[in-house]
Amino acid sequence: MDVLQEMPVEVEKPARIRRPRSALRSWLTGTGSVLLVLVVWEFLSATGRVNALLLPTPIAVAQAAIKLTVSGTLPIDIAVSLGRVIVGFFAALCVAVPLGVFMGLSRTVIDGVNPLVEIARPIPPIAIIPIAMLWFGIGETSKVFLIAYGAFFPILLNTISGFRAIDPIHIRAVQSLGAKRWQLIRYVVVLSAFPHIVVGARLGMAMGFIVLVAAELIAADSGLGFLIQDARQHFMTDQIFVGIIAIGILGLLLNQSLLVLERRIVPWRFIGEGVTQ
Amino acid sequence: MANGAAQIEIDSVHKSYVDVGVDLTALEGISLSVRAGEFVCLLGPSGCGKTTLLNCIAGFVRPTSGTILLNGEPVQGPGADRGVVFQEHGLLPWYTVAQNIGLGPRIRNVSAAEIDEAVRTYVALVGLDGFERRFPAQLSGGMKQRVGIARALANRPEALLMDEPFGALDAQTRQTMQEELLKIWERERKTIVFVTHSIPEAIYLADRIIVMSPRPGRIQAIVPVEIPRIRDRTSAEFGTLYREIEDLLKQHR
Repeated sequence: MDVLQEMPVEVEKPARIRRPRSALRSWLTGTGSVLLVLVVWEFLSATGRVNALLLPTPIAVAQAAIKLTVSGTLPIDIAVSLGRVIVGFFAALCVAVPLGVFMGLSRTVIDGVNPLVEIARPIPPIAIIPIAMLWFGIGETSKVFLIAYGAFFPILLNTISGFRAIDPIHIRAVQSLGAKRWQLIRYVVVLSAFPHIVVGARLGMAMGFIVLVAAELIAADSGLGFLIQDARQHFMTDQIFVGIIAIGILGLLLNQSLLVLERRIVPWRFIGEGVTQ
Repeated sequence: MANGAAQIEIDSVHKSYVDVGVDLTALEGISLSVRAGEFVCLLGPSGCGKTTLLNCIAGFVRPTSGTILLNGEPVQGPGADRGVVFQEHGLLPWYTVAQNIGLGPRIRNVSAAEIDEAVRTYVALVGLDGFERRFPAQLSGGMKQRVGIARALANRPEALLMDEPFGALDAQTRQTMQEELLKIWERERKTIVFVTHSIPEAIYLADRIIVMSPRPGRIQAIVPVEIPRIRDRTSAEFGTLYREIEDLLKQHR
């Protein structure tokens, strides 16, 4: 009994932070599998087992990439696509977040707007492309509109759910510290919803990117989708692959940078993943 | 301490809920007077309304009838004069330990220096030095509850309302926390209303134990604990009181 009572407070250990597996090891495994695919691919097309016209070798694709980079085409197309995504994404953010806040906080607004959202939500944004082109032409406006449309629903829905997910105990806790209504919003409501909004932004960005590529494939005079379409018309399969891979890398980088940003602005959501320590 | 301790007067409090057309009486005819600086435990099985009564005092729940006075003033809603410690700690996950503890002073809009001072004082009081920059998710259950207590105290309330704060802790941590709570209470001299369903916890802590019975929630008996502190959980008088209260609770099983 005495022993128990004299137990120092240090016996309580904080929740353990999981240590990530050896970073080098998982990096080597990952790189190894990519190299393996490249080697098999090179083997298949270089030995003529598949038609090299339809599936050019990785080396041929790399050469095409260098050529397109030196000529300036690839960097310009990347910049154009990236610019469209960013503008469209921010346009969506500016509309979806305030609307989501209103819908999350007001019964009346959500009752009024929700049926519209429910009808529009299942329509894949790609289905909007033809009408957007009739409305806005094939220039920048239609691209930006389509990206904004694609990004809109993920951001809106996550913002609403963020405001719905507020824990009543947090409200009570802050009320009993003497908080007024605006202080509840500042210290609880906003911070409670914030991580959901950030997740919505990341999903919205991904959707916007998908819609962008589709729109550029259908009608554009620049951008990565256009690069692919243009190469197809000239039967330059190596350039098609350059475009596909560039899209993949760009998408990956966008997602990764938003993930990094998310970990910086909502660090408390990543505790236990060995990030904050 | 700048603030005094609150006196709580509960007079004929009645609380009923209408649930799917059925009238549920959670509290019936509760009258109780808690002296300034007194440590009172509300003890009873689940469904006896002890948490409802605490929530009425906290101002989270409005009684259907009856009044609750705090230093003679009727309770209208939650307020900074009554600090609340929740069973599930209720810490804000987006704030660090220091930010959670400093939140009360921050809401009162005092200077940054005063907030720092309050945080330092109460971090030390609950023995969390070195953990100031952790997030709640990085703490053990006992440490979270320490933060919860420090957060309530740092706001300098006159009464501390505690809703089964140690209910989720393991037995050993629970005893440590009870001992520390008594030390804090002896230093700060707040009025404490403490909800529990553990008889030994109530005997160990309270000046008076309010034994409640369920359906409807009523005060069944008020048992003063006259054993001098620090109480020995293994002593004969502790055991006698334990059996006395156990018998009271058995009548309603």
